Order: sequence, then structure tokens, then C-alpha cells
Amino acid sequence: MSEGRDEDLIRRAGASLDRSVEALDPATRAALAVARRRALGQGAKPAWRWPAFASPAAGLAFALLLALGVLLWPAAAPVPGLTPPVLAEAEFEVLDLLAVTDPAELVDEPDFYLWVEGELAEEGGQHAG
Amino acid sequence: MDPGVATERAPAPDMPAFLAEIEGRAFRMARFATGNRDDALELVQDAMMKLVQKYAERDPADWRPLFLTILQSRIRDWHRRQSVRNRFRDWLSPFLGEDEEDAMARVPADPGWEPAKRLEDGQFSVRLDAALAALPLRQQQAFLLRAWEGLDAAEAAAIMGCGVASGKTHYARALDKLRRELEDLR
Repeated sequence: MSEGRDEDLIRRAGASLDRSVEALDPATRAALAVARRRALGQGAKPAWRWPAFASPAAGLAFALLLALGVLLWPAAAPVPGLTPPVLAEAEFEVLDLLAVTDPAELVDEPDFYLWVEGELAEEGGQHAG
Repeated sequence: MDPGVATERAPAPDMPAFLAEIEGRAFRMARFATGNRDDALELVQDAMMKLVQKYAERDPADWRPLFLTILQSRIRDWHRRQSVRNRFRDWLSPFLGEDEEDAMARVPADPGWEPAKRLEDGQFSVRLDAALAALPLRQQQAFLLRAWEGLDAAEAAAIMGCGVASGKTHYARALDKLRRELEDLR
């Protein structure tokens, strides 16, 4: 009995879905026709689109994840015999400068390299002395 | 024909007719799966592209199962991408204010395939569409492949990329839910 009722449901559903295809709006029909012609065209390739993951929201999500990862990454257990590096004052200054300035500006500025070299050399000299 | 002249490989002459015949049904399947007209159109176009590029020289009798297999694969890929995107969206929702424009952008672009003519068909079509759209993807596509496309259990399972038993379960659950949803209209 249930099988017969299912057959009735399937028949009505099929007829309804067939009608829904016949009732597709002209814009959708036109879009499908364009897609068909594009597929049939020799060497046709789908129009290039930005991948879905390249949306601004995804970019922001990735940046936030990266920031969280850096902040929450568990500190590595100290390795016996290995002393963690300690930044010298001059190195801090360089990092500080990089943090507040657009690196692209510094890359184009030759004096920046001279300044870094001088600062580090001076620091090295102080440590050596 | 001059054998020295390289000829471009043209799709078999029946291919345009085949695509014209199946595109509307494919669109409806993809539309149910995505809930979105533009995404559905893109999935159908991708499936057509691949069929023509890779399988145009196959026996035309193979085109339909091949096309449906490609389409189902595209639908699954779309859902995977959507799942990842939704997880990010949920995770970021406390940080991202959603203005009204964004909210509207998520409304299906073209509900126009339904109204006037469909209403003549009575409530059944409208209720069926809603019930199908609410089904889990695998159940929904199993029902469309078997009840609408008329495939048997093995064919549908192969196209969906799952085992026959699993495919049967999806179909049975879909039927059960639709039966209950549409009970009062029978």
C-alpha cells in the first residue's frame, strides 16, 4: 500500500518538476543557452573568476587566524643547552621602525640600509668592547 | 577533406541537442542544491564545459550519466566550499557587522521561476519545492536522480559517488520525509 502511495508521490513530483523546467523564466533560459554555446565553442574556457576563497571576508578571516595563531601558539619548551636569542637594543629599534613604518617606503630608501648597518655595527662594537 | 590540414575537434552533432535537452533539468537540480540561481547556472555551465571538452567523442549513450556525474561532483564541491565559508562566517560574525545590503545579497537572486505559472499547479508544486530544498543534500539529490531522472539504485549511487546501500538509504529517507511533508495534499 505504501509502495503504491509512493508511486503516486513520485509521479506527481516528477510531473511537477517537469513543469518547473518548462516554466523557467526567460532570463534563466537565455543564460543556459549562453552557457551551452560557450561549452560547445571550440577551445572555450569558462570565464576566469576570482576563486571563492579570495573574497575580502576570507582575506580578513585569514589575517585574523594568522594573528591568533601567533598570539596563542604555545611557547616552545626550552631545550637544554640552548639559550634563546636576546635582541640587542639596536635590533629592537630596527624592528620598532619596521612596525610603525610601511616597509615599502623603507625598501626604497637607501639611507635606511646605511642606518641599519650603522646601528648594528655600533651595537656589535659595544658588545665587543 | 585535405588530410594535411589540421581540423579542430568539433563536438558530435548531437551534443547541442543533448545539452539543450538536459540543461533545464540540470539547472533545477543545481538550484535545489545551492538555493541560488547564479551558482546553479555556473555549476551547469562547468558541467557542460567538462562534458564537451573531455567526453564529446564518447558514445552519446554515455553522455547523460557522465554529465550527471560531473554535475553531482560540482555540486558536492560547491557544498564543501560553502561549508568552509559558513564556518568562517560564523566564527567571524561577532567581529563583522552585517548591514542590510549584505543580508539582502544572500536572498536568492531570482525566485522568479516560481510564481504565476507555478501557482496554477496548485499547492503541491510549491510545497514540493520547499520540501526538496529543505532536504539534506544527499537525500535531495538521491530523490531527484531516482524519482525524477528515473535512475535505478546502482546508477544513482555511481553518479553520486557513494555505495549502493548508502544511496538507497538516502533515497528512502528522502521519500519518507517528502511523504510526511506532503501528506495532507494527497
